[in-house]
Amino acid sequence: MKKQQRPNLRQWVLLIAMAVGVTGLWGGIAAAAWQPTKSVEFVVPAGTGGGADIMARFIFPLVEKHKLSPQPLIVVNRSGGAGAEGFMHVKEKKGDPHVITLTLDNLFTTPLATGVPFNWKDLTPVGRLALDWFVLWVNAESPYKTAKEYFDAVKREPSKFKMGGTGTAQEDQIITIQMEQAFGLKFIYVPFKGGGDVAVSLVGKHTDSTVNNPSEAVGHWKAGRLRPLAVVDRERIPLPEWNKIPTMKEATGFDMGYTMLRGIFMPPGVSKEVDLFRKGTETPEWKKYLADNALKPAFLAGSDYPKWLEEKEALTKDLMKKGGLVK
Amino acid sequence: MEAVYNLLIGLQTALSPFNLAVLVAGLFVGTFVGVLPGLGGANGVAILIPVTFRLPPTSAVILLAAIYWGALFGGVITSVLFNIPGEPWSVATCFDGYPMAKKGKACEALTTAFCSHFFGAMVATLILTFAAPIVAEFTLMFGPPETFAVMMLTFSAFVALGGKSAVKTVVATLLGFIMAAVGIDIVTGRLRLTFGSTELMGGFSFIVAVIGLFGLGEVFMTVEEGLKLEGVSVRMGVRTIFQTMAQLPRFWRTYIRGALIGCWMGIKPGGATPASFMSYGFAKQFARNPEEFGKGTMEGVVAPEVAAHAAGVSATLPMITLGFPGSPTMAVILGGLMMWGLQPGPMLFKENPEFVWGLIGSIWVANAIGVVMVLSFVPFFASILRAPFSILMPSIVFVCAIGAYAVNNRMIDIWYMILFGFVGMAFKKLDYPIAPMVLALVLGDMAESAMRQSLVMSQGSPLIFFNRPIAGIVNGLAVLFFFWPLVTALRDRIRKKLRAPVKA
Amino acid sequence: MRKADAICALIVLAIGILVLYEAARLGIFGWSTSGPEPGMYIFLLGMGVTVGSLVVLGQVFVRSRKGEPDKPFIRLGGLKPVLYVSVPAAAMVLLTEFVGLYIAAGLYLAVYMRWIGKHKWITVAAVSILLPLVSYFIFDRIFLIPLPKGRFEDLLTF
Repeated sequence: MKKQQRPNLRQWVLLIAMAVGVTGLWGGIAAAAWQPTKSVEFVVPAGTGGGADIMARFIFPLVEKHKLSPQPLIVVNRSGGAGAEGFMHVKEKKGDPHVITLTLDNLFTTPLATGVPFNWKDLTPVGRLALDWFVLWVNAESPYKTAKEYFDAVKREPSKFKMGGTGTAQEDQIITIQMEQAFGLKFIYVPFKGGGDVAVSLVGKHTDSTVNNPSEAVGHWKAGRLRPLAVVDRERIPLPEWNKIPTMKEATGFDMGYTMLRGIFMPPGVSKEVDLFRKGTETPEWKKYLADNALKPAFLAGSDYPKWLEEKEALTKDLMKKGGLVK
Repeated sequence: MEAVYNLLIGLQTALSPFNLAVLVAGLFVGTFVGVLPGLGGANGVAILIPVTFRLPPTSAVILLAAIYWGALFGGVITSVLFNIPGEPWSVATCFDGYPMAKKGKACEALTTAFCSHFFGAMVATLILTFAAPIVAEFTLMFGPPETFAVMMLTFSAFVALGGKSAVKTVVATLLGFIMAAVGIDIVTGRLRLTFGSTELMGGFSFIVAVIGLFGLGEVFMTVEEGLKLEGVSVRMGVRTIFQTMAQLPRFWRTYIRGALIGCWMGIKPGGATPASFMSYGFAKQFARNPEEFGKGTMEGVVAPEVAAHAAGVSATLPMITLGFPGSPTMAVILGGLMMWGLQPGPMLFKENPEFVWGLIGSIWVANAIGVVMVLSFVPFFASILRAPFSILMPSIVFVCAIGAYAVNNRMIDIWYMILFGFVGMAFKKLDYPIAPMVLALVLGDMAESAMRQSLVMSQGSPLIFFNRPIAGIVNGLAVLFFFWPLVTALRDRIRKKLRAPVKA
Repeated sequence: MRKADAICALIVLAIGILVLYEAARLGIFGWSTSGPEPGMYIFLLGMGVTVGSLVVLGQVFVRSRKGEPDKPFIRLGGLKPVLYVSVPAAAMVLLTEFVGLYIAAGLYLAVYMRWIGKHKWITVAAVSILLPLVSYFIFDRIFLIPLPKGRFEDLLTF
């Protein structure tokens, strides 16, 4: 199917749209607020049940309850190619304000690992909703009480301990490789399809450790099935119970930090003045959701957001290169 | 017993007049979205989430769950009437349900399907009520090698689904695997078989392929055979329903086998779709009249329906006990749970027992009311077939197009559907069996990931499939069933030889 | 039937070769600590399909040499009704790209019912207008699944 070569009509429309846009700028109405006139496609570039999907499915009722948008947000999963399908879809919807996407770090990792012609600069960055921590987990029945004990055991027997993670050449594997390089270890990295599967595989003792996000493992921790060893960040998680988990530096002496983006993007060529998410992050339900799932409240919008993305991209690229994950 | 006490409280919650009204409303919406291809339980739940904010959480979840149960009932109707599976797990129901409808026995087929559904759901609910914690532990024993073994067991049901030509059966199956492989390679994270196209990155959607191969393919076949442009005469009425029900206890073996397969697969690791295929395949292998399968036998409707709905109900178990959704509908309900401030996962049972038991109670009530409700619709649904073919046919094509598009909101899928329609017709004429192809398409991805994950875990050693107890046993069973036709053939030959001297 | 069988086998053969080509790109041989190379799985699939299609071709050849009687692929007189259904269906999808599914389906229903079904104009009009309209309300308005509207999308959203 050669669909890429659409007639020039589209380019014409674009030209006119751009002309109108420029005129609008002069008229001082370019920053006009986002006003959807039909239902909005809320693209999740991941499968059902994962972290991004659950957050999107939470945002949908939140928007409905607080009437944050005149039109409903419809969650659509486009998970093909580790999210590449979703990103390409949003990229192609140039100038359409009825498409919004919620991404994780696969925004950076997927193009780097697969060579798909896509970069986050192809989209309009709207805002960062939150950051996700990573925690090193082991099964509660395992003898390891601290990260140091565990790493020592791994060091004694290279290629014996299994680290479960979501996908290949994604954030979980990046962190695993970081650990291997910092401590001179060798894990067997076992890729799973989603964070829920990863956590369950650890509870079932099919793997020895994971670097699950807090939300993916919290239930099993509360039920006494998993044990957190360290937070992969420079500061402890400032929430009750969670603040008892030491940081990587406290646990092992090695300073290590990695947090994951939960960001909102829209197609290229639309206004980024969407106040829906700012308002959403101020609701009590959102705050409870963040606390329940131990997400880092870190709303960021405006010109600081692309600046932060740029830094994050450089960091991710550097780590992936060091780990030999860039294609 | 504590469970009985809890269940009684749960039933009391579910049977309060208000919750009962909520439940019936949910069942109506659910059946409706289940009937229309392209709409599923997930849509019905999503649309009613805003309404649930005005209800107490327990009523709210009863409403959402009732939609889910209703959608499970609804999915089968289009499979039987038009050979268009409304949901993936209704595909196997087409094999015999549609031929029955074609013979004018739509009423019997639907009644059989609904009653089987009810039985499967009830067995699963029993397990859910009394053995949820034990079953959750059982779930945890399934890692990638065990998952792979279960896939192998499902594939051994292929033998029963094969066509006349062995080569063509193999080719069709492999084509299904190839379609399933399009997309990303889970172990290396590299794209494969996409040839640089964005459209191919999403792979081939199972439901699109099935709508094309079965629904549209059947339309093409029917016109080619020169069916007159008028409706099928359908025998219907309350008496037919009761007569059909009276015949069902004969299939008690299929009922029990199907329910067990369904409960197992629904919890882990396959889900309702493989369960329905497995149950159908085994029912045919062990049947006294295997040649009747695919031509419209009641047992061929019973087997997949029992398993699919036992699986559908038991799929709620991982969500309640482990906190991960077994289906898209469950994912939407999960979003709702968090909105009400409930944390899904292993603690739900302890922290919010009234909620969990209200939900379990609603499953009992919903299935009991649901089966009566849909059975009373049977004559109405069956009467659709009386419409003139020249109105029905283009409407079916339209509905197929909606269904194909709505799966992923992709225009390309409608084109795929047309393409699969032609493939379906050509394959049917040339004796390439379609059933193993769609089964390979739906399971290929899961089986391959499980196999590759296992090999990563064992550092490349294939022994991992045999030296773990569950994986070893299930793999052994798979091999046994794979050669079952050989075993029975051998047995028959030996028997003949033994008898031969007597006769001579 | 034999000709169709051969053509179908040739198409399958082409698919098989395409898959083999892709497998070669990914690397086929070798068994490392992470199991087989990424291309091995699809190499096996591609190989199976290729060999299978060649066997089918061989069978067709043998049957035609033996001069076994052949059935036509399409029943005599069956081709026309199939074309009557499939060509308008494909046209409907093509039209959907431009005017959207609802209008395309309405036209398709009308054309088929009037020319093939020979229904009264009143029935034709009722079904071909009502069915898309009802679908519009169910999918676009109630269940919020925007179905394709083609190039004239903005005119139709109200």
